[in-house]
Amino acid sequence: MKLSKFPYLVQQEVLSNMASSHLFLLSFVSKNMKALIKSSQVARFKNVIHIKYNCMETNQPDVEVFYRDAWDPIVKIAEEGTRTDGFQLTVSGKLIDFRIFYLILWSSKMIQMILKKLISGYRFMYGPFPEEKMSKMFGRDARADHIKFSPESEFYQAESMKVDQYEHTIPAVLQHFQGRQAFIRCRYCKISDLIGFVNEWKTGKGFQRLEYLEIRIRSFDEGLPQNEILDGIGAKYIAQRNHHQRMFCRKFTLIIPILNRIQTESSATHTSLEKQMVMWRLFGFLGKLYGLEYGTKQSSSF
Amino acid sequence: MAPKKNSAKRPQPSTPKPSAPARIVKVQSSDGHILQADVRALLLSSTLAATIKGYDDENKPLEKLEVNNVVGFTLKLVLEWCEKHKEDDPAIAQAEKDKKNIFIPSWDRHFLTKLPMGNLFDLITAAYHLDITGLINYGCKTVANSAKGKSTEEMRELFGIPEPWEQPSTSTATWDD
Repeated sequence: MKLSKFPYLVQQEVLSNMASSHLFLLSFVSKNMKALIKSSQVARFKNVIHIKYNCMETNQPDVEVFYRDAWDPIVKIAEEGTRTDGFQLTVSGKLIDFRIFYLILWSSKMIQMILKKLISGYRFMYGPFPEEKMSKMFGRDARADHIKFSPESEFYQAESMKVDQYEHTIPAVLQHFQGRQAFIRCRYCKISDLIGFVNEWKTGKGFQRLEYLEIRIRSFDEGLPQNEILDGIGAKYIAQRNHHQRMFCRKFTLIIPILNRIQTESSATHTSLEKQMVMWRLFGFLGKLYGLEYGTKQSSSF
Repeated sequence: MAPKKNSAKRPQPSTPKPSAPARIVKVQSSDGHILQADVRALLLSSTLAATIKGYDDENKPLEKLEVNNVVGFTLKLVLEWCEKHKEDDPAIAQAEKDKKNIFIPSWDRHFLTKLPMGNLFDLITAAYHLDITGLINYGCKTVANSAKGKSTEEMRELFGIPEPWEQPSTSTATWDD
């Protein structure tokens, strides 16, 4: 059977019925097949809501694509296992062992070569990949806890970012973010880094496009040092009775739950442009409202 | 609610229509084979349905339909499929196509997967020419499913995509580079 002999609409129908991972793999077979996938699957790609890069808790990063009503795994990078149902593919002139849905890896050099190839195909199908330079995506020893994005990464150019991290500190992932919304969930957080980030943000030295930040700290072994954070970021308690007197605009939200005290309501978090007072709701601190004064007036239309 | 992994469930068919007396006509393939088929089965093909309607509108007796772009072996498969599905509501096939949510019933799965790839290819192409939505849906889904668990090299073989070095270097090369 030669797929190329099918009428275009049939080719399109066949490809439309393939899972994303199979399309992804098929795109390696030929350049024109890759072009066909791209041209015939426009509707599928437009239906993508977001793409998840899962690098947490394991040294087996994986990528999943989420559509409006479904999700599909695309690729997973795994250590060499005991399975033998693999096949070989020439990547950058070298023969690499593949396994369906798994890439068997031996060295960081191979990881980089494979990812370079994979991301080339990925970019073709789904647009920008969050890392242009593969050697910077993975650390030299190719361990997952060394995964990092370069400052120039397209990952940071996304309008909205949701990150679920186990051990990484918050500012590390936000440091180069240029988007407007960030949702971060982590287990551990280095308070001094968090304070430094907030201070840089509120004084307008960085992250000027950032309008909404939601941070959830899942657990804190010794309790959340509330006073240290409040003092460090210069928060001042705002009496509840004063809320209605202000012309509030939604601006920033910082949610730092203590253990299971997680709330999602964010409507009370606003910025008063006239008074140049950023209002923060620190839900972890019993839902109290705090104000953060800063010097430069915001130009945001919010 | 979180989205679910891509999966498909077949829409429930509507209440079966009461069976009407069979109206049998002859169908001739491009290579001269003459087969017989129930008109209700042929109506699954939009192309043949239009032809039949033309005859009926003009009150002409329909003795033989000529299908000029499908050979006898493939036409027999087409008619076998249509006969099996002649009671189906065409709206179901269209709905499945629109939603890209195609579930292949067991009879169809067996019918299609037992075919060699070459025959399946011919069957899908015939379904395309005759505009039989349900058969196109199931055929394409079957081809797509055949890629499951395949390596790139197996996919290349499955879909008849030649190796890069087998390609002609002229500008007339196809997309199978």
